[in-house]
Amino acid sequence: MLRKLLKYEFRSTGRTFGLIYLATALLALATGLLFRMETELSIMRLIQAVVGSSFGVMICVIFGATAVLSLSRYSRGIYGDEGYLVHTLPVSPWQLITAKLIPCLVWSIASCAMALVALVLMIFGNRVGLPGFWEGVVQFFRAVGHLFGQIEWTAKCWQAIGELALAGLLMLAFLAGLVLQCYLCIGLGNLMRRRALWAVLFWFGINVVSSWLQTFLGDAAGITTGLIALLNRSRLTAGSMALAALFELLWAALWWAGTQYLLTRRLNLS
Amino acid sequence: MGESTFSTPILNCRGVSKRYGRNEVLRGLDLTLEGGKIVGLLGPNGAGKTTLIKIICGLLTCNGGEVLVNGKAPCAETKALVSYLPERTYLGDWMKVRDALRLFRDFYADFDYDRAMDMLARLSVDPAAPFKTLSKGTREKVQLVLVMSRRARLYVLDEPIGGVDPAARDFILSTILTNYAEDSTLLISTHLIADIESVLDEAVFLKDGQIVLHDTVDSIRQNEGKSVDQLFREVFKC
Repeated sequence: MLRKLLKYEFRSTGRTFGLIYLATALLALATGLLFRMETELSIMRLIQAVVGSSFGVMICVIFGATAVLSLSRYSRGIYGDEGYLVHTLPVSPWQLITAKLIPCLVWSIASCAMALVALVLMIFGNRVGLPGFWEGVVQFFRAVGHLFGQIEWTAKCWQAIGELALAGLLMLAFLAGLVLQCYLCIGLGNLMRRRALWAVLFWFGINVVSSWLQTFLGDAAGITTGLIALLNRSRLTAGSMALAALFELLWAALWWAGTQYLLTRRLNLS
Repeated sequence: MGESTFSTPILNCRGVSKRYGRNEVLRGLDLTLEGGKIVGLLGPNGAGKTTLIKIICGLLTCNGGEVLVNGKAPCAETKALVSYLPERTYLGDWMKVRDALRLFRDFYADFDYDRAMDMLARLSVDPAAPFKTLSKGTREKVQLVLVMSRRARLYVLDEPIGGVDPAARDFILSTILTNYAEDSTLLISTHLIADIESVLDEAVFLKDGQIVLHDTVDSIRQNEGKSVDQLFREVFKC
């Protein structure tokens, strides 16, 4: 059932994100090409400025749209008219939460990647059509392949990869916690009359309380981190990141539990 | 109508109460429905019909009492047995009609895809049409088709004929009666008694959050000497 929910969730959001990413890519290429032109014409300079500014705005739009679309999909899909459909499907509340969370995380990562791709397109789009462009691309990928071939897969190399993976896990845990906190606030806001206002107020309130708790627990964690450092200085970074990721996952689990409780015991679709 | 082949009542409500703030919408309501019946949930606006239906379908949690569908509290398992038609449009604007059919086919093992397509064809609804391009009346008909194409144990229809013209009412009632599974139970909430009385087996009168009458239509006519519609007008006289 979860796989089916994910299928429809990606389908409902895929078109919108696809259009945003396509528009960003086209703007990036257009910006790169336009800025290649040297011109004294004021109208051309105006067009360059407008297109360049639009590209900057589009990068911001990607991240803003990801947040807005993801949260509004949850709000409308769970507590809006579509809720009359999803809450009568033979699925469990945890599946509903997961089916919203996973696409949100995927689109967040995809948006970050798209922003990077857009920058690359803008820089290298500047050179499309110039002599030697495609030879340059082929040489670039050959150089990357050669570089990977030169790597000696020593213990230090694997340690670096491990720390990179831990950093990725930490970021993912943080993002998941942030999203689940928003879901919880939307659910709490739904219990009140002015839902949007109360959701925002709950968000600030929860942030204040969790920040205080994190400071308090962070001091305790500092002791733990210090102990890890004493045991093995070279693993200080990995130990801190693992501990931080664990804390983020615990927060995420707490917000999840709250969201699940609201969907199971306090659902009020009216 | 046919007798149920199942021993457990399909629906059992015991002492159900629901409050919105200080407003008590349902007060200690008791209701038991057996299988194979068409039951009218009748009451004026604000009587608590939609609230009770939402609790049965798991869209609201009650403040007191319990609701059992086929012996279990509303959960994923009971939702597989219940086919619900709300009084509002609930399909996403991003969907096309055939997306909705495929969604129902994916999630409900009892959904008859071919029957649904056949009904849509008779309605001249293009399966490739985006939902947002359909008129309100057509959207409601599509939702009705989806709901009635399931072989559910309990059909719960919330005001299916409210707000539509008489010709559409006839179509809706005809669709309901010709498509529901024989040993299933139909629970239809409405305040348009005269249109629906002829198809009902039982009538439940809901007033101020409590059931004031639950009897077979034949008994009502025999004992009261009047139609359900006439009795309704007496009971709920302003």
